Amino acid sequence: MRARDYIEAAYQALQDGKDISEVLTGLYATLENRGHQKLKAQILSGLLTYIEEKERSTAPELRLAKEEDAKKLSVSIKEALKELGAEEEPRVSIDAKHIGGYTATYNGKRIDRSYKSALLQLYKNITS
Amino acid sequence: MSTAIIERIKKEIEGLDVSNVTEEVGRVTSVSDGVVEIDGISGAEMMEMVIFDVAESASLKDAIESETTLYGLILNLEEDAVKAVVLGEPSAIKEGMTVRRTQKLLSVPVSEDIVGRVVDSLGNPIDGKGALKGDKEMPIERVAFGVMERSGVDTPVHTGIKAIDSMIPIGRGQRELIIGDRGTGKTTVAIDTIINQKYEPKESRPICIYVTIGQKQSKTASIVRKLEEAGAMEYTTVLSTSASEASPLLFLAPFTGVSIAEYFMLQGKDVLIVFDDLSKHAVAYRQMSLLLRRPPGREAYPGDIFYLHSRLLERSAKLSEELGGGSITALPIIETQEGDVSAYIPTNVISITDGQIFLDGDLFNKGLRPALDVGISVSRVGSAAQTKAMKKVSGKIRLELAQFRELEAFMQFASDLDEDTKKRIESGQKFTELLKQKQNNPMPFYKQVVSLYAANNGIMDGVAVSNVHALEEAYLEFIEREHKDVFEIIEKDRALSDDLTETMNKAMEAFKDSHAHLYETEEA
Repeated sequence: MRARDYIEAAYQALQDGKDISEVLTGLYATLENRGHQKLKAQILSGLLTYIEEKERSTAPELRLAKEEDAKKLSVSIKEALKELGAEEEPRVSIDAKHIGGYTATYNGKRIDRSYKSALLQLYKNITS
Repeated sequence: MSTAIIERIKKEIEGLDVSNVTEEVGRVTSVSDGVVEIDGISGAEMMEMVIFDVAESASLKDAIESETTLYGLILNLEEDAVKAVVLGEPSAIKEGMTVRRTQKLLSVPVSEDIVGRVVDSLGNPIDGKGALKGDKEMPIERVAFGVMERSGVDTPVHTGIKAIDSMIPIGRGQRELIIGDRGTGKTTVAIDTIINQKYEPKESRPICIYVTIGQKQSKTASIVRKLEEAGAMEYTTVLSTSASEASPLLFLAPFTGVSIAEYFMLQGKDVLIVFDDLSKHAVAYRQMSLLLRRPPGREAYPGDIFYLHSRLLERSAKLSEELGGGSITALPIIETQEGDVSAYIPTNVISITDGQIFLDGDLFNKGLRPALDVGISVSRVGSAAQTKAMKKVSGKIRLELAQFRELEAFMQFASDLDEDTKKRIESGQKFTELLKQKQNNPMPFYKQVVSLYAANNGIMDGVAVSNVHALEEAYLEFIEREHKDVFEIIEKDRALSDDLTETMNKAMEAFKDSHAHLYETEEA
């Protein structure tokens, strides 16, 4: 079995409600039985990344230039999230480099309405 | 700021699309040696271009100053990740960076303006002569034309090299391999062929594309200069990828070249494309495949190394009249080691092409240049790609040289040989001398016909071997001066009529009478 298979199995076990220590004990025992102890470090670091990726893909992300833009652009943001198919509340982060506007990301798709992207596109159109 | 610029900016602002555009994005999970592993973008296609959001973490000012858009090319679609190669400098890519799908397969923008320019393997100009506006996007990878869409190869590509045009003729739509060790004149043969196209009438002159793969930039610069001096750049495009560029760009270079060629072929035009050289191309592809963890095969090349070159070279074709009748003639170059034509890559490409021009290191060192080994060089199209005039004068040469090669070993016994054998050896030596040619000095085909006709009909009788070149030069000058219409008729009719041969016979007699000094007693 590859490290990826162990990672997916461990994640599934966590999703089924098992305790983390129980999952890890079972994982180590399986690795020892199958002679795959070498994969332990790879599986543990991969499991963390896998959990992060899954959380990222299940929760929509909203990046704003300023906190106050959330209220100001609420209608546009709601429309964008609807278009992406996101139903839950997004995880909000602030990125001043956006200058204004927002980017909404969910499930591998993104809508970029930041001022920075629009200005960059304008610059490329003018100078090309 | 001028009014024009303000108006331009206003227009762009008014025309800016601000609607919601959904992009499919992924995230870089690892980057090493120019290969990027991407998570997400599950809908990605093979050979699709992706854009790395290098400006994501940069301020607007930094993003504008960096100016470059960094593309990647998807080459591996795996179960849990997508692997792409970076088409540019990978140092700008960081783990966690966003990657956007373009939903476009790799293509190159082409227009008529690309002729006369020097571009890179993505079609971007690198000669400092301004931007190129693409008229059409030509896909880098496409399926070659089928059997019924092609027609037979029947029009010659004149290389300007007597030995090739007479004995190993190349036709429009053919693939003729140029193979030999380093420093045997392979590039020279290709460049001379390009330069020689200036003697073709403008309406039927092929557009030339010279693709350099992993060559030294100094060599490419000197080739461009040579083409400019010869007036060949006005119908030539140089596609340059230097040795310092990333292997994906070297891998793409010949495909970009043939895509540019297809743009012109589909308009009914003829194109000549040189790949210099495919050995370096194979090495770059091997490097890229190993980094993509594709299983290595013989000599560590990936299993599809044959397919790499076969699908490239199959795109050279002569199209049927229904499709415009255009053609792409390919001159791929392969570098051998120690003359070993039985190595892996050389044998692959020999089996793909329609013939090979083998350049021998020993002949080169002996002063026979171009160092063609006529014995193992062949054109599978043969005389179907020769004008009637050339067909008539070239028939005897191969036989003369073949007989000479067999008798060459006996030359050391010169005093013990019979007269007939001595004559054959002498004739072979003179023909060998006649076929020598200076670098970057291609001869138009009508002059070749006149020269070879004269050689076949005794003009070299009584001349020392060392005087053959002087004789040829003097004779061609004589014809230019006294019978210029001979060149014009051959150029126009491409055949030798009885009247013309009569004129040439009389010209030869007159020449011999007026140039007796060239017919000195032969060296003892």
